[in-house]
Amino acid sequence: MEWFEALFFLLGMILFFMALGVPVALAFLAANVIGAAYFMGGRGDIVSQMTRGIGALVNNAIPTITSFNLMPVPMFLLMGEIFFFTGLANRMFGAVDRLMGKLPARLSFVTVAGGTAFATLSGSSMGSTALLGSLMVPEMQKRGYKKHMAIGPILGTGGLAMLIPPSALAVLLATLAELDIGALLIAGILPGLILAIMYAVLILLMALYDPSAAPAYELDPISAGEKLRLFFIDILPMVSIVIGVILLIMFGIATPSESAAFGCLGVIVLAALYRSLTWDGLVKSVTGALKVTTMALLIIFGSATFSALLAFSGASSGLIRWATGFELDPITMLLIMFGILLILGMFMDQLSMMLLTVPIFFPLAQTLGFDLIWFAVIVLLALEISFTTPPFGLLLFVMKGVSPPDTKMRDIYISAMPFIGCSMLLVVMLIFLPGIATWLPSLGQ
Amino acid sequence: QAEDRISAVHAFPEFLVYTKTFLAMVEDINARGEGIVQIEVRGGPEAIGMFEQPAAVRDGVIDMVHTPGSFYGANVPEIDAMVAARVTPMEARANGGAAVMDEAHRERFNVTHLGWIDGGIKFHIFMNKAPVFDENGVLDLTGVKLRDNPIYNAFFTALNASTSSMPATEVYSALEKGVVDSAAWTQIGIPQLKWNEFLTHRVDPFFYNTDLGVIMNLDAWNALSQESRDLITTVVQEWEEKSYNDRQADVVTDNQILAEGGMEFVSHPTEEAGAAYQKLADDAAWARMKERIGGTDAGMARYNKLRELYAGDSGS
Amino acid sequence: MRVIDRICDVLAVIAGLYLVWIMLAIVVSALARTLYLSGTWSSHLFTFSEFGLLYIVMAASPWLVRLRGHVFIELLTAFLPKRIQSGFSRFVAALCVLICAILTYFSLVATIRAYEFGDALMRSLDMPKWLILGAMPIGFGLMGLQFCRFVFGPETLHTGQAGVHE
Ligand code: NA
Ligand code: NA
Repeated sequence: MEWFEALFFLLGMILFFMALGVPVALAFLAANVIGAAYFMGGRGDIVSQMTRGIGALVNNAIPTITSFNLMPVPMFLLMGEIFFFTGLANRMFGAVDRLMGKLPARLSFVTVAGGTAFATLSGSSMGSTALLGSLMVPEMQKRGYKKHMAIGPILGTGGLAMLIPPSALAVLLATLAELDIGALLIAGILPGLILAIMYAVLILLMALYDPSAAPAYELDPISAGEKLRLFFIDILPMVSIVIGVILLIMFGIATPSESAAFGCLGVIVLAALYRSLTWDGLVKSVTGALKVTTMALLIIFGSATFSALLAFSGASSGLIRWATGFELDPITMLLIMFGILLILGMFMDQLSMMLLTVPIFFPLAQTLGFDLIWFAVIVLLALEISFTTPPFGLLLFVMKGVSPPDTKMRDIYISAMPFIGCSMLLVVMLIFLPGIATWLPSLGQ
Repeated sequence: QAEDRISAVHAFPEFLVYTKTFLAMVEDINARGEGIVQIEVRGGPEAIGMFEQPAAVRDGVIDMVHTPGSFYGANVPEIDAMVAARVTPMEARANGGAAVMDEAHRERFNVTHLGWIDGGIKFHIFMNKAPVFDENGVLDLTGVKLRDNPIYNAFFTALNASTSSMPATEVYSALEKGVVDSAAWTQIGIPQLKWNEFLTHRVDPFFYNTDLGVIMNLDAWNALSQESRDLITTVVQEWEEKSYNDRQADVVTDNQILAEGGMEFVSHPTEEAGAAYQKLADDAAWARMKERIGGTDAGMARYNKLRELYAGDSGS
Repeated sequence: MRVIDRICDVLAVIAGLYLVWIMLAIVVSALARTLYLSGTWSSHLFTFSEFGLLYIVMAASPWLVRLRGHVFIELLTAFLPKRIQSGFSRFVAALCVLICAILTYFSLVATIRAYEFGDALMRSLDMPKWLILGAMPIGFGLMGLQFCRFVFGPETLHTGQAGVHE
């Protein structure tokens, strides 16, 4: 088989099974079972080929899955679930909300802050969009907010969640691309903060341009002492845990896995101190973390042999030779890869997109001389942007599903646009000022 | 008669000197084997995971692999004789040790051991501070955070080290951040890995040997023509000697680079202490082999034979 | 089916406990390293945390099948006419049963082979490989049985709503 036949054969089978509606993990498994039997089956009849090929597949899955590098994924998820099911999260958002006082479009800001925290820890933009959409949109409508002031910020939070640590998806990307996990987590901080500032400016501008879109309403004034209490008791301890985790990673005091485990323990201790640690809450937290962990790890299990098959069949090296043969300049190549991710995001979840593209894109990026951490930050952004890009971005449909019945697809498109614009602007900034991504990780060294 | 075709993979990435040796050897075989036998290299650890490669060869997924024997040491415990050897690959071949090694491979793993490549390279412990020696003058690693690897775990435990496991690719950043402050590595390769940016002291003498070899699936081997088998055997044995000599030259070069970079070579206080240190290492390897063999008569007979041929002592 | 469901529930509980144990094990081994107390025992904690990930995914996957927790993409099923939708969904579920059956059989073969050759994973200890591989035929077998419910049972896997379901 020529390299391009092997490539289309492997990619085609996975996409075919996915399109049928086979669970993603099994789609990868099925395609890899067939691919492994074909390429790694060696000599002999079909049964002995399948024995060898599937044997290679399940054996390859062992080092892929039983890798310490993956450990931050369940740990971050568990940390987030405990944060929510013990009520610590509510406590923090309530405090943020009250501290903002009469800030114009206050609820939009609360949505961004809360949504980022939720998506960041739940590891699922879709879950967080569904939750916030059903929670915040009706609430904001009741307060007289126009729809776009609610929907836009919710759609925007996924991008922040992916960049600002802790980020389970960033860990997965770093693991799949064999990058320094700590470095990628740290690299996301600055772009994440810049994106958050852009969102804040955007919301303020929208509120100033059309004050009726986010009408102010009366609030009980709170005293300075009360404000301090809210800040030091309800916000600072929670934020300190997240910052603590980041610092442990950044200065190499602990590996990302260890930092994540400490973060988990920290949240449990904190919940106990607030007397909000319940058996029921713990069970729900572990169950929630177990679901997402298992789902993600089985997909990775299924794809364990995919990149090996690409290498073994010569597809990876063939594609790289072909793609670099055009001698396009690196930025054009970057934009092509970016475009492919945008298209895939129309019908695929983020983990599947990563699994399909990482074994192809990262060797290519290396050949092109890119800083791989910087490139990974751009890939993370692309994954998120693709999710909210009209007309088919998946989150848009999730949003449609959970928002009030009179919401039109067009409302959602228009709400998403300015926030996608911010993410796109960040990508442009990253291209011209790569230091945004590479500076912080270099400090830790 | 049709040309024989052999598929092969290698355990390490292409930039490593050991892989380069293997690829050069394959090129040599292919050049001399035109019309007889051709080896097609399918890639390195990106094509099949490095620890999965030996079993992939045994099971016929691939025909040939270039790998450290320790990667399948649980299957062929006899490989530890190469780790603890006091002879060169050429000496082991001349005295019949290599034949015993091949026999163990055929019996236990359905592969044939074709040769011991890049032999004669030893290991050192490298540290970021001056080593401490105990009352007997043997290295004491109490309070030292050492990068662990299953191959030397037993030896390091005997030296009292506090160990943590990680792949070689993560050692640089672990050293940088102080997650570990010491690591063992071969006599060559430290400058390429840049670990000498953090590691300032080398503990002498060396211990152990690299155990890189080329193994081939036995069924695939038997399916080759006699001419192919003869050619491969000849070329691999030539490379046993050639690669040994080349690597000895590399050892001299790397020693010079490390010395010029300010690395201190700290010997054990007395020669006896140094010998005791080496014996501690060797004993750990022989003990592991004995334990894995599990005490069967045939196994113990081979253990004693290997100990005699590879280390020149009877062991029992 | 009820017995199988209970088995899957028990396995999921074990997986959840293992997850919590891993968190504690990582904390303990990191503290041990910082205090220069680590040794073979903490290497073993590390090793069994790593193996835990595979046990967890194999133990909890069958339970997750029942909850429709494995992410899937609905594109085709959403555009099919209503009357063939459920039939098609059952066909896809049957395909999943087939995939699981193939994996169950061949991972069992791989497990037996690893047992016969005495294959081991050399981490901080020589872990017999069949103990790891052996989780796969069990996990995939139970997953296949759980997919059967979407072939023959009253419910279908797909909802007819376009999107990614997780
Ligand atoms: Na995050
Ligand atoms: Na987004």
